[in-house]
Amino acid sequence: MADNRSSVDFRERLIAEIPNLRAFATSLSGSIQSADDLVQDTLLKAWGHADSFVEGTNLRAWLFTILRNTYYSLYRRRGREVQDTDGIYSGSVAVPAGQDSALDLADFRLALAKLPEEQREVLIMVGATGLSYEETAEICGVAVGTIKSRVNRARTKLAELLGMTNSSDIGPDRNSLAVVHHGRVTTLAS
Amino acid sequence: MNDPGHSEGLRSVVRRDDGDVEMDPKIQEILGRALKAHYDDLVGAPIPDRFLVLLAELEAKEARDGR
Repeated sequence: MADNRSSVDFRERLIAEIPNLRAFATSLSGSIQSADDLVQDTLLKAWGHADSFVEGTNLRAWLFTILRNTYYSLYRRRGREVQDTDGIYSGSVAVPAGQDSALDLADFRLALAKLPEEQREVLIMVGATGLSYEETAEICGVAVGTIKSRVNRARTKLAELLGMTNSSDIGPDRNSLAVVHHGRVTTLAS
Repeated sequence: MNDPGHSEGLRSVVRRDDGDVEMDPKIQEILGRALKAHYDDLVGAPIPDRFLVLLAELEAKEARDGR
């Protein structure tokens, strides 16, 4: 870093991203303990490689890239996948779903943890972090089309895991749940 | 996902001509809200001191080394 001033600025900006780094790391690893180790490694690497961050680009995307690479190279091999997901989050707060069918947050998290990692990570990035499909594609090193297809598969799998497969399961308004038609429609139940 | 035998009774998801799966917008919306609730709950957690201490140390070290 060039001088103390820019170093202070960079630190402030890193601090501002910590909540997002922890949320992403927890979603990815399924464990808050692993998540905090992962965030610490990410901050150390980010600090050490601050010169390679290009001003004007998305700092969050840059940090997520570091975090994700660290996770796949170091953490994932530690052998934990999905098992101890219950109990790691603070509570089972009801999802504020508005008027109709709320999902229980704990149920949702269990289902989320059961998704394959490559689907879970993109669903989180695209659906919750504010990153674009393009940024997500760059972080994951794959084409935008691949991201879209992973997001679709993730949603479908989640709906299945949560039992949202019958119109009667998800709310009183059956009519609004009509299947969306796009050309020739083939239901998966056929 | 394209396993018709396994997806018995699945009415909310359809396969389009191009092979993409299209989901009922209402289910998408519910899932989207749940996803945000999950993530925002985590984002809202207080930042552990260890990270602030770590960054303060890194910065102090850098100042000390005169970089």
